[in-house]
Amino acid sequence: MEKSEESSLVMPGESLCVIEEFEPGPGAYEGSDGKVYSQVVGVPVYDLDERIVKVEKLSKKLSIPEIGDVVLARVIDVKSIYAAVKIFEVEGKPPLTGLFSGILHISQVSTSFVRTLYDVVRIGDIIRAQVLNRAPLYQISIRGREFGVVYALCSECLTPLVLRSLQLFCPKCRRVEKRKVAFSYYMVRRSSA
Amino acid sequence: MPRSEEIIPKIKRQQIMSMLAKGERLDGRRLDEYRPISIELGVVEKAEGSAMVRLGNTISIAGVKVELGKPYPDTPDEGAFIVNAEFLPLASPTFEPGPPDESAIEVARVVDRGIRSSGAIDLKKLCILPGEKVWVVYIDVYVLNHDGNMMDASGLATIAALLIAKMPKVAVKEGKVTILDEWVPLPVVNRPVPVTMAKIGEKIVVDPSLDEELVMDCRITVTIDESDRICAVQKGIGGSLTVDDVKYASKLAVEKAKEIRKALPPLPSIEDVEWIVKEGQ
Amino acid sequence: MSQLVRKVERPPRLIDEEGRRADGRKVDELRRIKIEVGVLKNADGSCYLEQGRNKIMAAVYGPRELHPRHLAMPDRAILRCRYHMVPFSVLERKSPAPTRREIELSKVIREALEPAIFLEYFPRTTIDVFIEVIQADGGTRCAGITAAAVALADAGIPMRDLVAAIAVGKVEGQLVLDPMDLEDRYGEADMPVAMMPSLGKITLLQADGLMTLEEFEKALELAMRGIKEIYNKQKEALREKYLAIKREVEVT
Repeated sequence: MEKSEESSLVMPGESLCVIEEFEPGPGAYEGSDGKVYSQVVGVPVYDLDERIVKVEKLSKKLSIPEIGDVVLARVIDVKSIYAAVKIFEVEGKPPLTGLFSGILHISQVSTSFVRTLYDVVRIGDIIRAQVLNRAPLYQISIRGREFGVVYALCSECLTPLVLRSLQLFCPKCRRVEKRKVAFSYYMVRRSSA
Repeated sequence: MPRSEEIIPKIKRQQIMSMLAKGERLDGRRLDEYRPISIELGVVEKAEGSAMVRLGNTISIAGVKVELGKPYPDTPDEGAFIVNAEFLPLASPTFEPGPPDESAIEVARVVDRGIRSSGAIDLKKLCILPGEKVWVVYIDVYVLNHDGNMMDASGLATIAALLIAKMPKVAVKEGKVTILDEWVPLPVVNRPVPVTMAKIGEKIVVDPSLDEELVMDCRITVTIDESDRICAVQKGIGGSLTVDDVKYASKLAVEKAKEIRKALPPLPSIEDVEWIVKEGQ
Repeated sequence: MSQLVRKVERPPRLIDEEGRRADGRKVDELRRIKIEVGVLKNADGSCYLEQGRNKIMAAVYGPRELHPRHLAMPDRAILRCRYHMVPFSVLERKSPAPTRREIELSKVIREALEPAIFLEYFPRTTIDVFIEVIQADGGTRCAGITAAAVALADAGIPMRDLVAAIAVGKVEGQLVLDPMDLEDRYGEADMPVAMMPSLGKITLLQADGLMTLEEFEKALELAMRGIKEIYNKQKEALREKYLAIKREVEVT
């Protein structure tokens, strides 16, 4: 059946079919009357094999950090066993609708022993991390080579640090600083500069 | 609530600075170029005067109301006006509900100074009974979307709303004041135009966008009246300007104000207008 | 530039012999409605609505982190709502600070929108709805709800249905749809209603003034007819914006 362009766009609350025909997928839900309705402004897609109807959203894509997401966050406070961060971006997802608070515990830095978090991150650093869970704050982990600090400033003169033979080095005041650096440190720094 | 915006500046500043060095801006404007300005007049029929100004994506709306009131003790023979500005929480993810914060108050006061020192409103004409009854002009300015330079958007909305505002005539008989159902223009005799500039690194740009405001070192607003006189100046945020900067900025402001004033409605013709009818004298 | 309104004076009759109201409408006729979607660039979703002389701006932010954090719910988002009138929206200047009326309306509007939103999808966050009345001419809470629902859909927030709202008034013994300020002021009753139209569920119902049971039932039916019409306008406005976006998506 050929549908006109007009009717192929549905609104929240528009009925799509009855539950006997298709089960609701993403963007759709089953009402108390046994009908399936759209939740969003979008285009309905009927999957005849799986017997599922979903609505492909045209309105703003929302994202809040979810378990398993790889995120970019800024460090706002460091204590010896935990650090507070603000998550501002989820990789591969639409922009967040705000900043989300997270926490990095010393046990989530590495599989080996870490004496203090001050050797791992500093205030103002931007880190790449993975979301572990969401209660009560987002718990994040930087275990693994691909996670850790991706952008850091010199704690003396605030010049962006560069990665030089596995150490963070300040090109201006020639300080060497300690961090747990992510594999992608140099690349992220370059693309953002 | 802060967004990633608080993190971006550090990264963006480099980009903005290197573009400015080449005489370019993020949105493709020249350094001395305003974003497109549109002024919509009389958007609120219940206000005595109103205007909605769009400066790129920044939107400001101003409304004028007149009410009878008492004069200030030091100016018994003059009417009064009050400018109030608020940044609505719907205008930006970083604005919170509540009474006006210091930057909203700053906008209100700079707009107020422009009107006051240019004598834009002939306050003598608003006096009904000296020391007892005068007209009070309330100007409320609301920012609906914040994309930088709320100062100019608000200042323009204010003067545009005043220019088209109407107020009722009054009759005075034996010390009694009656409001008549006859409407006359507000005695507006000058059109001050604020021009806001930002200093980023060594460069000065007019009409800073939000991105530019987030990285700017200093801000300066120069308000220019109908005959190219400076009637208000405000240096904003931290940072500093050199004497040359200020000279350049004021010269640029005169030039820009002339350009922008063309978008404003003309001064009302008030030569033969009577605001107060005196009876039984 | 439209004609300034300076005074609301009661005409001798609010409804004439031919059943016409002061502004020329029939008793069951809505005011002219204009809805624009996505008018504020900063907001996650926004809507500008004109209903006769009512001018409403609505914006949605979120879901975003809630401060102070202890107010957050572990299993769902909370909805916050602010209804506010600008000082020049009415004939007598209104003080900019929120009044008791605005605080109450913020609450009932929130409760009218809440049932429509899948709040459970965004635990521990807040969705903020801001409604600014730029000009008021009767029925602003309903117009605010209508606009806010469109802004929520524009923000991409999953909803059970849109919410549309309208008031029914009683003027000179007759029920009228969508009363304006003049009719509100001199009428005998006023009943704002909000619904999720395709689910047939009422999410806001208030009334003041006197009505018989029969009148009340009739008023409800009249409101439902009005809501259907408004619902269509909401969908039309969203469709207009998103058909263009859909075409763009298809091209790329």
